[in-house]
Amino acid sequence: MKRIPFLTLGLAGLALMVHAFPSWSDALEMNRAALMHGELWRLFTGHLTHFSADHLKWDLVVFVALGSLVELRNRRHFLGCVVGGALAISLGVAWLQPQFTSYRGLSGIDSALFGYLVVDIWKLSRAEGLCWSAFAAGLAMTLFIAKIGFELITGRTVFVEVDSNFAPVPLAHLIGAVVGGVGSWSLFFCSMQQVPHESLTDVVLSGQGVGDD
Amino acid sequence: MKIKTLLLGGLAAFISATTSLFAGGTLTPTTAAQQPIKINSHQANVTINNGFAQVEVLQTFFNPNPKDLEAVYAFPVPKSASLSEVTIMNGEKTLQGEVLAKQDAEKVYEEEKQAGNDAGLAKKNSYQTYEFRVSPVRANSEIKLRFVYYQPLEIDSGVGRFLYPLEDGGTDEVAKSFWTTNSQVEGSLSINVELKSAWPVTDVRSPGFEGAAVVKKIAEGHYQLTLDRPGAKLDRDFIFYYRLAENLPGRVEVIPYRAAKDKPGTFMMVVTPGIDLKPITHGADYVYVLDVSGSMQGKIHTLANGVSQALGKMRPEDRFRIVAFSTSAREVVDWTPATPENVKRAVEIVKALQTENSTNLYAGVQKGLEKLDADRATSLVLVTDGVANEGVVNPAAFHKLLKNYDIRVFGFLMGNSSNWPLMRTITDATGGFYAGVSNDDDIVGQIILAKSKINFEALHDASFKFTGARVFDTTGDFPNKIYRGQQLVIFGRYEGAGQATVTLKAKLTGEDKTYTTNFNFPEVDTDNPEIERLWAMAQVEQIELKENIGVMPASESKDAIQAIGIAYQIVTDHTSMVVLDDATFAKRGIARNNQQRVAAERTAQSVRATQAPKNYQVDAQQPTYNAPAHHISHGGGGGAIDAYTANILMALFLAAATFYARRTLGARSQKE
Repeated sequence: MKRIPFLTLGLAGLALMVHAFPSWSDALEMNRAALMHGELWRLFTGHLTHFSADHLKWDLVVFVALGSLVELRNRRHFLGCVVGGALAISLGVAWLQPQFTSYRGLSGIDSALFGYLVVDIWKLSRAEGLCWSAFAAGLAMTLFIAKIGFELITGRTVFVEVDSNFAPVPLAHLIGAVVGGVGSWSLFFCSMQQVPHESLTDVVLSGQGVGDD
Repeated sequence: MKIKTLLLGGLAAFISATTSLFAGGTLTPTTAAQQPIKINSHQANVTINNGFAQVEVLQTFFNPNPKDLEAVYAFPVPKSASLSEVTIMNGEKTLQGEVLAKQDAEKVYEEEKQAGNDAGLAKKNSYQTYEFRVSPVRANSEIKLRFVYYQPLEIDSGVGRFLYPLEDGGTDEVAKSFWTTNSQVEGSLSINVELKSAWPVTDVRSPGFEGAAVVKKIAEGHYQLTLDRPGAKLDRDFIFYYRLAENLPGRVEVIPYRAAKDKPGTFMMVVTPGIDLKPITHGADYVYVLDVSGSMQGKIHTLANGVSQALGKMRPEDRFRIVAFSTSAREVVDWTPATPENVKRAVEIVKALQTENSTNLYAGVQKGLEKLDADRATSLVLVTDGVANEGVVNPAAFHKLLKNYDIRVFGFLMGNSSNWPLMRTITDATGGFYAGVSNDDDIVGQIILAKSKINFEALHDASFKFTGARVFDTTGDFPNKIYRGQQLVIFGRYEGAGQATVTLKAKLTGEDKTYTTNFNFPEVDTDNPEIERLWAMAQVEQIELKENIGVMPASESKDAIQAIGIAYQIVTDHTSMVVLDDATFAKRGIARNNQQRVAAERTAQSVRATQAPKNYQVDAQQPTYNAPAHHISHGGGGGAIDAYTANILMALFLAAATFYARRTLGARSQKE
């Protein structure tokens, strides 16, 4: 059973279901006015809502891919990325982006998963002396942060794909990547004092995850 | 992308900052000694159904003076509205309206007024105001006025907008100096909206009244809104937005009306294209032509701030130029690439702009058209709050001037009573579009809608052709350009019945496109008799446009409009409605054409009130368009991953999976 990333697939299914019923999206989106009225669940559920099928498409594909990888690696860490990322992104957008009345999308959590994986690979590579993969991970994180930084400063997206259904929020990606990366980094120090990391293939081949609680 | 949005945003914010000089209300001559006629109550009942709005206004006036007076009430003309019904309840007497030639109606009214008889008059003062006169309002007595108008509604990018205009645009200087307006409602001021849509509606809102309005969802596309503002003034517009569900199909809807087989039918066709129009990603040129005439005093700082913020967000590959006009026009900023240094310099110049003198719109447009680069797509964004009152003011001259240039004009008209016939003439010449912006509009939404059109490809050389049935007297069937999210409304008449075909032919990035719809014209359909009045008003507007661009002489235009106004009983610039009792109509030998029309309309309305909204889509079986209709959500931000980023992240996924796998296999082999 542990070979199946059921949390990832469950959340992906939920996002699809929410999209199928537009009224659900309205009830679950991260909406500033509703938050003020105490609807705090929207801090978490807003990430499962999307403005359009195009918006949902890539957010979901990346979530399933990266989420599966992280969940199979460590389910608790996956939950940390999702819950911590969702909360931090929602609060960050609510506080730092007052121009938005609402926020939707899984991509911030995708960024958290991305941050987690890149730092995880970097620290494992460093520990095992694999210079090339440590360099590649570092480069990937640098380029990702640079892309977001450019978008934040210039107000333009790097890969031009205009969708007038909503305005893109690069800040959400930045917060997500930082939450995932810092989370993974702090676990690195914890793990140095505890048990070594298990690998994905350990999980896949043995059918049980060493670190999967 | 966002850059132009923000630039438009600044301009729209500038538009929104206009102040009210007048408001809807009773008018009293500035020299009059008596107290003004009071408005004891005001109620507007709005029904939005089948692509048009029916607005019923009920008002109670009170004369606080010891002598009888004439009440004069004015309010801004809603765009494309056909004023169709006026009733006055004076004590136990009920007077009803019939449309006559303007001078005839005024003569009858004056005669009855002089004779001391009960009478009323409704007339249209060009694009500025509807004016209602009631005489007499007895000393210390009340009188009730009821009027009804119909208005076609368009849905833009899935968002419908209805405006009940009350705030006066202050564009009529003569009236301003002659009348004092009393817009205070002593008792209740209420607005009730009933929205019945055949398509699911996900959200409704009335900006600025979110807390006061009570919204009730009856069914998926059925909402009721109630707004009570006791003791308020009639100086603030009411705007009602409704957002349709996402992923609705591109579609063609036909709402017919035909009283009998032996009479021609009338139809309203609403085309909501579902066409995948791509974003324009290359740099473009934008000329901003800004009105800094005297009426802009007090607003210039908002203009400067808005433009400054917008300029700061432009793309370096875009170029901009800024022209300001009042009595004359001058270039404020020459063609400039939107680099940070240039933007900073332009911001300082714009902040130093000062208001002055009158409005020479022609000079502003003419200056804006200078120095165009034939190799770059250019848009001219025209923002004005005034009516051209200096230099060339003939609309035909504007049309002739703009026809010579390969440029699109996007007009933003400030407030009510603005000169939309002139703006329509200007944008018509270039295939652009214009939008009225109320002070109470949802500015963010308006900006997003404008952006959606300016920043995406448009269909060119677009025209609709009907075959298979005799269709005639059409309007709106040569739109020339069709922008993203735009809904097209075509009116026409038909003879015979049975299958017809409408074909939309257009060019998209040089490629010919054809979209065909087959549908049936009914022999008889009496569900929507109001369609005839809407068609008539569309005809009137088409005739006015022809007159404006100089292809129809004014005398011919007047005759044609008068004939239509009388035949279909609508108030126009050349027809007015005289309101009398039955006996006086009979005594004067005035035919009761409007009475018959009103009876048919009320019967249909009472039937529709009990029914669920009817879906008039005619291409459900054979869809005309493959893509869904464009839909927009406003005010929302989203975390989004585009295809390119997704591909990169998927590559990372594969690399990470490979990394973990290799590492583990390596560890295994070491153990073994």
